[in-house]
Amino acid sequence: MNKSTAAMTSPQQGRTFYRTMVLRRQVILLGLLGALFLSFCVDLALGPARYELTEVLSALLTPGSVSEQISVIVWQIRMPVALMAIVVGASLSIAGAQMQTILSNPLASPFTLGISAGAGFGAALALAFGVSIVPFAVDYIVPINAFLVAMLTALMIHLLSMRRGVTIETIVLLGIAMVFIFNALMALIQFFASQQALSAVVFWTMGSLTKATWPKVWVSLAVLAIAIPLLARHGWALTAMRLGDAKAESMGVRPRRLRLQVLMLVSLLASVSVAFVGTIGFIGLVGPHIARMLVGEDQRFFLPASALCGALILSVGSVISKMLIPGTVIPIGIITSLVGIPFFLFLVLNQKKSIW
Amino acid sequence: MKDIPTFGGFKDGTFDVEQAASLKPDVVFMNIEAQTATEDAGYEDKLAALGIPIVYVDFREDPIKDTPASIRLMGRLLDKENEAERFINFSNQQMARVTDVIEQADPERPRVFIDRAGGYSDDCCMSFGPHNFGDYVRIAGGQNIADDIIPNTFGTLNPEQIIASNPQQVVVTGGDWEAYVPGGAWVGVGPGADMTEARRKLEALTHRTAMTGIDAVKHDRVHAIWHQFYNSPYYFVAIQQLAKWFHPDLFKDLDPDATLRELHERFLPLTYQPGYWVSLEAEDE
Amino acid sequence: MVSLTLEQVTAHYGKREVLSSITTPTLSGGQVVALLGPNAAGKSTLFRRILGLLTGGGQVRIAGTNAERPVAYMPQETRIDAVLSVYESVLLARMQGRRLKVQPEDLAQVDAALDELNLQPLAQRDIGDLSGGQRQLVSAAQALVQSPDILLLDEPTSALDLHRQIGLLSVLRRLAEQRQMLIIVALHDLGHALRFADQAIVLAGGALKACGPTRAVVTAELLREVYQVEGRIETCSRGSPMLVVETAL
Repeated sequence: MNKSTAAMTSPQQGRTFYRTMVLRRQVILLGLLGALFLSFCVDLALGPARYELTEVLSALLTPGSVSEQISVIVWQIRMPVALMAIVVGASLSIAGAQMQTILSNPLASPFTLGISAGAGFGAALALAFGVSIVPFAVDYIVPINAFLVAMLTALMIHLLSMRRGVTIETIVLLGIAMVFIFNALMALIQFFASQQALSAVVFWTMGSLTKATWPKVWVSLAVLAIAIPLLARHGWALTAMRLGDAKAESMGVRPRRLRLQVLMLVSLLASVSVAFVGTIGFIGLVGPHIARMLVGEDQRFFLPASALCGALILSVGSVISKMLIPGTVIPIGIITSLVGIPFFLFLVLNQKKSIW
Repeated sequence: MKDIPTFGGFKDGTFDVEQAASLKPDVVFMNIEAQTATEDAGYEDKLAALGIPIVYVDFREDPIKDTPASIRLMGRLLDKENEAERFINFSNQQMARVTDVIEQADPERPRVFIDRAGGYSDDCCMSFGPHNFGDYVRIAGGQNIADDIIPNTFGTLNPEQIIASNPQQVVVTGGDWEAYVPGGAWVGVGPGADMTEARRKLEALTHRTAMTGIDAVKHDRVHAIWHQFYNSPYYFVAIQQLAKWFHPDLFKDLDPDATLRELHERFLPLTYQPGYWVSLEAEDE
Repeated sequence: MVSLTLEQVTAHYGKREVLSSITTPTLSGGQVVALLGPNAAGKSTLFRRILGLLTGGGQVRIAGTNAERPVAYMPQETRIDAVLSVYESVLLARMQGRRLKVQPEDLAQVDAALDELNLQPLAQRDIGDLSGGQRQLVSAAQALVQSPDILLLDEPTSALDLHRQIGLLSVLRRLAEQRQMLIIVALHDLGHALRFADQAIVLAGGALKACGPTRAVVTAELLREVYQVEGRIETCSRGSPMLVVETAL
């Protein structure tokens, strides 16, 4: 607007910069994907039954040619766990990323909104007292209970947030209230539970990938496969949400409607994951933050980067939890927190720019 | 027995001190694991003020070491010292029937996987480290595969580890958990259990992924035993049965069923009901 | 050419009426219209009503356009902490309602909007790091990049220094003429209105107080009645109208 300014810039400059930036982000995404693939391979190759790499490879490529035990270990034990780590890590991280986006709150995650706590309560009901919310499907009573309570929580937040004058800060407060309610209920259950049930509840709440089975992998993968395109379709609108409701509205986004749609979608993602593997903390919070530091908040990169970061953290966690004391199972929730949080703090403290 | 009042929340030591006081007991027995919580809550002082001492006993943390002392203590306090000594002697005699043989014969020890509360949840697999049932297995002449893996009494094994260790014997601990996991996959052994049903559920557990191709399943060396032996002064009965399973030739004459029956007749006001264990190999014999 | 007509437009927040029956003559493209009025007069509400973000009685008629979204809106500035560069945040405004894939044409439009407001030097900066004035210009670029026929700006100069105030208003003036856009600017500075706006709409307490050519609308009487200040409009030595305010009433 000021033609006399000496620093008149060429009209190409913005575009050139933008193209470089896109390229850099694509490289970062590819790097994450490569790291994830590597971690997945290590996860498959390592285990207390110390097979040679060649044995694992032939079990993978020509399952008929190896002994039943190798085949079972690779396909029924290691593979579902390794895949589950990736699917659940991606699901929780995406859920966290979108909650942070729609609620404009860096602390938002499936935990903050009480969705994980709700799932934990549902599971504990089943584990401690055999209370089933639905009378059928006894085999899946724990995940079904967890899922239903988690979705009920999300629905309740949804209904309350539809009331007039409810702001995003109120939604976060509602979520925190839910967390406290469920924590109290959980403590009550633990108080009354038998010794045997108590250890099952405690183990469940710590989160573990050993619960993974093929059907669970498929269900989680299906939910993820449905959620990603739905979220991607709203990519530009979701990015706009980060500019504030007024700005998003001015660009033609309907913030309230989008917020509720996305809230339900990510609740589904989070509750299915939590229902199957228990409460694995921290991924839903940190995955998106690392992604944001790497690629910014343009959803075209932020969404896949969040998914990859979450999947990578959990996959590496799975490897470490197997290696720490070979043969036993350390709940992965402990590992991800112990290894991930120092790493996260390192990133945050070394960040030159302020994020949030 | 029905007239004995029950308390809630025992395990944290947070039992209702008021209720305890109102019953005017001469003494309160507590499990040793509740000691810290009880002391924290100041119950010792509160009950002491009423002239009620608390006595800690242990049948769970280290049953083999602590049971005689616990029994002896209870006998002294209840003025049944003779009965207590008779019980301890009985226990020692019965233990010796296993330990003497094992010591003398020093047989090859089969690899044993203890499937703690197998089928209780779909997680696989909870087990015991070197203590408690881990002790029982060692005394009975077996080698617990989780000895070097689980650092403490309780822990969880990677299912892959079970296949890798290839146990020759599997001992599932079970009980009637209908109240907790209705229709669950647990094996409901215990007094008066339905043996056909228990055997069916035990057989079903061998189809879990973690049991794939292991020797124990191939040769039907899969057994279930009452879970509560882990927390009971009658552990020697469990050890006898384990020894019989692990070394059938050495312990041909040992009859744990008779031991448990004798225990009931001599020391308990209850009639003996069998059903404390079941094995898949039973039919072969 | 695009045109906008308001017929008995009303708006409510709950039961409270915040706009009462606003009717204007047809405002057509090629001009800058100043939306005037004291705080809480209903200026932002009227903008939201024109955009369709609020519903209410009456008619907002937009004619002479075949754009899918003919109206772009620059809301009042708020703090933003998103991790987005200036370039991305303008691209974002352009891409709303479009596919995920960015076409070369979109990039050309973003560069054009940045050029227009001389924002290229800031293109790589994070919007979180900008000053309030810089954010306001980016916000204007976000509205501009949507290539609207009608552009609504809510106090776009509130955080700008004098140099940039005049710069932005001059750009708006030029765009209105070059692209035959209808630009409606909510302003507090009546001097700017007198200098840059062809027409003025004056709101007070949610009601229309005056509407017409700026020179005819902005009078000493208006100052007294609507703004509650004692003042007068004089002509400066070069013939431009000049606002002289004496005291608040």
